[in-house]
Amino acid sequence: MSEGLLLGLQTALSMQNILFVIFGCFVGTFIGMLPGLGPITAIALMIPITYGIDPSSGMILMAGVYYGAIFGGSTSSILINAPGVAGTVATSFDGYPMALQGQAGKALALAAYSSFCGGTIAAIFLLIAAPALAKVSLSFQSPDYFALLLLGLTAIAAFSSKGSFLKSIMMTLFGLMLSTVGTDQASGVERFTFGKIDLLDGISFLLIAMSMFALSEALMSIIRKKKDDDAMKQPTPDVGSLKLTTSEIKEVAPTIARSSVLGFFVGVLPGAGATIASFLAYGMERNLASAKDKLKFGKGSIRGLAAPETANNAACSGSFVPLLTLGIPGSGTTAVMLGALMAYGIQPGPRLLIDNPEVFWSVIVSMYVGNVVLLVINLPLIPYIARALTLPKQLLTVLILFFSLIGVYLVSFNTFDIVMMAGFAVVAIGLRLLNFSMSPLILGFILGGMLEQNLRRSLTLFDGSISFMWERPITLTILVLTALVLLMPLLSALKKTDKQSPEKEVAEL
Amino acid sequence: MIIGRDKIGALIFFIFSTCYGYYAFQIPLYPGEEYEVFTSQTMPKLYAMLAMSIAALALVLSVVEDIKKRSVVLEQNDDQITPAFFDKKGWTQCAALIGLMIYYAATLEFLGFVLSTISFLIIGYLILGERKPKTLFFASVPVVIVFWAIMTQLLGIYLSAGDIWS
Repeated sequence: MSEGLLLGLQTALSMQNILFVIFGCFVGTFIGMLPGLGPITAIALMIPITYGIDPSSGMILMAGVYYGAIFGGSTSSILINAPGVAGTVATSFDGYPMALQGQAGKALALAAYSSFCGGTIAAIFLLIAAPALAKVSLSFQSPDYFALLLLGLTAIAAFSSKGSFLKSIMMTLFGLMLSTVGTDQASGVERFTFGKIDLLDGISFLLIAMSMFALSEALMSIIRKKKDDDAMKQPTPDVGSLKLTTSEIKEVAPTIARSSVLGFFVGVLPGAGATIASFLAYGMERNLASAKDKLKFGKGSIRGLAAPETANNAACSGSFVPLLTLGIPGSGTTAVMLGALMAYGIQPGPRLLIDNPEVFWSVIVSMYVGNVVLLVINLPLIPYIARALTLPKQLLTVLILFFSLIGVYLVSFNTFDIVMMAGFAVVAIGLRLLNFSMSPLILGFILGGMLEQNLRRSLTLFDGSISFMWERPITLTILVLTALVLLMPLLSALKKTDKQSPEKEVAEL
Repeated sequence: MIIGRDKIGALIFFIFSTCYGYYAFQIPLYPGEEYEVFTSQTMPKLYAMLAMSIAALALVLSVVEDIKKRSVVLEQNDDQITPAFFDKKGWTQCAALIGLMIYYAATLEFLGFVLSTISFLIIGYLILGERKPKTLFFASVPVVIVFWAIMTQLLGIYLSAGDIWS
């Protein structure tokens, strides 16, 4: 492990990569701060840039953008009560009241320190857990991978918000369907190309990511313009002092320790991620608080701010564990990163540690470097970066459209891709208006090819029999787990429909 | 019956998966391949069947829930798409920007990167309500020139000069 760590340090601490982390954190903070734009959009916009650099630097840049976007989301949550990302919604519960009380600087500093501590503790866990899990998963075969991919696909739906389980499953299936477009890798047969040469290679991952996230989010910001504009028109509170007192640090220290552990383990679960981690940490902290402290929650409690901030950063690191060790993304953001890695020709999973150790270790080290950069460089710059909130939205929206379109065009040099992007953006807007989530779609799209390959291989290995599902204990265990993950929310949805009596409905109304 | 977003979504998805399923059966197979366990049609057929079942389930669940609600209250559902949901100006701008993207695709190779991008940015700003000539100029021309210089001169990436000029 020490050799690997040295290799990671050597790669991540080269001048070029440090500059990439700084640039990534800065750009991520800027984009994350804009209401409606989150880390997925920020990373998707970076992908075309990373194609020109080596994979380690590309991943380092994207990890920096990821952290920066989460931090940027916290900043807009605290300053204008407009969370840029779902993972920072809980931050606004106590962060914004603190800003209203003239303690915006303190709230931002606390958010940065909590994120730093959460990220640091989680990076240590990642350092221990990832290589160990990667070694275990080396014994995995195609049937186990098939089962794991199924688990990854169902878990994101199971952890989706209340009432949207079936919608998430539908989106996952939509992503899987889109992944079948193009020439079948095994037989060479054309599928769903409708005679178009442009579709022979299938739909590019970057095109889907850009149109479903960057383009549709930018266009949605115009449709719901009034709401976002109202948030952005609010006067940004004075940032003020960034200092914390010793007693305040003592008060939040146990909160940070608890939330880091919770956040990391929630992040490791496929599909859970930063949003659930931040809400769980906030809830846990409120439950642990004394009756007197409980009253402060929602009115500017420093514990109420530190808990979700620590947990969401720790969860970001945690979500890299399944990505790096099993090749299964734990969230929409890591799904986009998986797509980028595959575009570099790198297959994440247990072989990553053996075949591309520099990528594996440099990502882990860059997590920590990213946290340091956020604390040392971004925090003092916050009063200046916050001015981004006053930039004319009409200029930013058109520029985002331009960078998204040209980013995809520069990879394929095919104008048909731009037309397809416009089409997918329309579909994505429709889906967003119907309350469908985009993350399961991108996950299904990315994992679709792998799922088909592994099922094909498993069937070949077992002479066309599906007995691989119960003959291998690992496969059977994962499949049972998948069934549980899939059935529990489905049964609860059916139970809810069945039990909801008219009387109760009236009472609720 | 209340037409809620859940029902519309499930219905559209059901129709889409049915069409997908129809085309899945049209995927050509090599002679004799139909006797194999796994073919190019296997996964698409599986996805179509699953998608149709899930969409049908979602549709049935939302209708059942709707009937229960209707038996006690006929008030508007939160889930409903109401006229207030449609902000006319925002939608017009959004549609115009989508049209602008198609225009960009059509002119990128014909007019060349510089001209088509400058026009794309200026028209985009105009659509979104920016009218100051100074802003229109400085937020488009220098941006495109700097981007073009970085791509072609620094990174050596070819950007179309425009068929119209050749």
